[in-house]
Amino acid sequence: MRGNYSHQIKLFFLTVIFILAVVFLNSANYLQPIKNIFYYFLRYPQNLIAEIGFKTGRFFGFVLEIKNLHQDKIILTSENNLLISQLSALKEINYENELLRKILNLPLVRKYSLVDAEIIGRDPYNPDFVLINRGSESGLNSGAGVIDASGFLFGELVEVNNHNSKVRMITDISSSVTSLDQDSRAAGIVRGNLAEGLMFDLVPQDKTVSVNDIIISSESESISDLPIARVVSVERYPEKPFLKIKLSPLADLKNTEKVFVIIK
Amino acid sequence: MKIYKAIIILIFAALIQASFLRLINFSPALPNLLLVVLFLINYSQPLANILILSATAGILADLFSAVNFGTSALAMIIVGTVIYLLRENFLKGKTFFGFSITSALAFPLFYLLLFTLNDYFNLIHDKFGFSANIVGDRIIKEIPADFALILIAYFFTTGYRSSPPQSRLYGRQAKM
Repeated sequence: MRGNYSHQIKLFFLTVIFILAVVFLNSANYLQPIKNIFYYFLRYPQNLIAEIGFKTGRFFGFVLEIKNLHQDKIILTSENNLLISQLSALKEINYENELLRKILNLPLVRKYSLVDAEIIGRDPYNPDFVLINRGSESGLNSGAGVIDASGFLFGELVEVNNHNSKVRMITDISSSVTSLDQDSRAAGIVRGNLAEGLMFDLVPQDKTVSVNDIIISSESESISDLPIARVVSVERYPEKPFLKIKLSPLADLKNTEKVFVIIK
Repeated sequence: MKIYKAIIILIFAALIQASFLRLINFSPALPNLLLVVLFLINYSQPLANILILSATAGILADLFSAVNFGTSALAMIIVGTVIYLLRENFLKGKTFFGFSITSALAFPLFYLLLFTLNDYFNLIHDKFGFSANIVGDRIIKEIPADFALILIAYFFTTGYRSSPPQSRLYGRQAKM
């Protein structure tokens, strides 16, 4: 009986030592080739399962959203009319801008190269991390910005393997993006917040930020001028140095199926 | 169950967990299928198999997760061993009651270990942070779903056994 116990204790500690070795080998990047082999063989069933998952999600989403369709249509029609008028004004401004840049010999607006990727998984423990089907073989690097099909900032790459990568979404509490209010040019940091969702932090009390303002990534970020979120509420507390600004992300973080990774 | 069959089931459970259940996105609380399947299989296994299966399931979970690689494996191994010791020393007979008690303990213990170990590894590696708080909030919603699913799964795979094993033994002896 005692021998049996000591054998079990030995087994337990051997397994724990093995896993601890895995942890430290991984931190030194020695396990990357083995992980890539796993990812390589798992990617085909994973792509298939993800596709089925999205189709199922779309079906249930449609069923659950039926009651809101009429209300959504009214809101979208009014927003669409407003956007058409704004677009027409912007085209004129853009034309003037390009003309002035040519006259002043300034370079034209910076363009990014994009790599399209599909979301094939979500972190089992934290939904703010997703897995995409592109990796270093497609030219991706850790820290690259990720946008959705509308050009809204979605997140950044935190781990790049050969055939896939992990993306941290902007709503994760470890994410922070240096940003600007597009209208008032007030600077701050967009960060994820557990209780409040997304926050525009470190904006001094004397700055003006209004509800419905658009927050964009600022020049100091490697990815600049990307729309991130819309201001939902602004609260002022005299005893605190900064405004409390709640945001709503512009990108549809829950239902997005395709994203684009920015390659400089 | 043969161990290779259990490993194949765990691989599919991990894929379905990461690429199906997390993407269908119509319910705020979905059970962690990989954990449920692992605990269900482990409950009838000897310690050596529990250790192998827990390590495999943990590594599979970590492949699709942002936690430090190996954290889930370590947490699953410790929980598997605790459950094994409980089962062998206090809950012999594998009744539905014993299974319920161990399952109720296993899920919170696993998540507690996962966050603690992950924060510890983050401190050592100084890597990107893994938001344990947001996970904690989610887990409060998910533990009941995990618990409900594992009880339903147990019920369907083994049937409801309320009587202790001795009485079944006496029953068999009586028939003989």
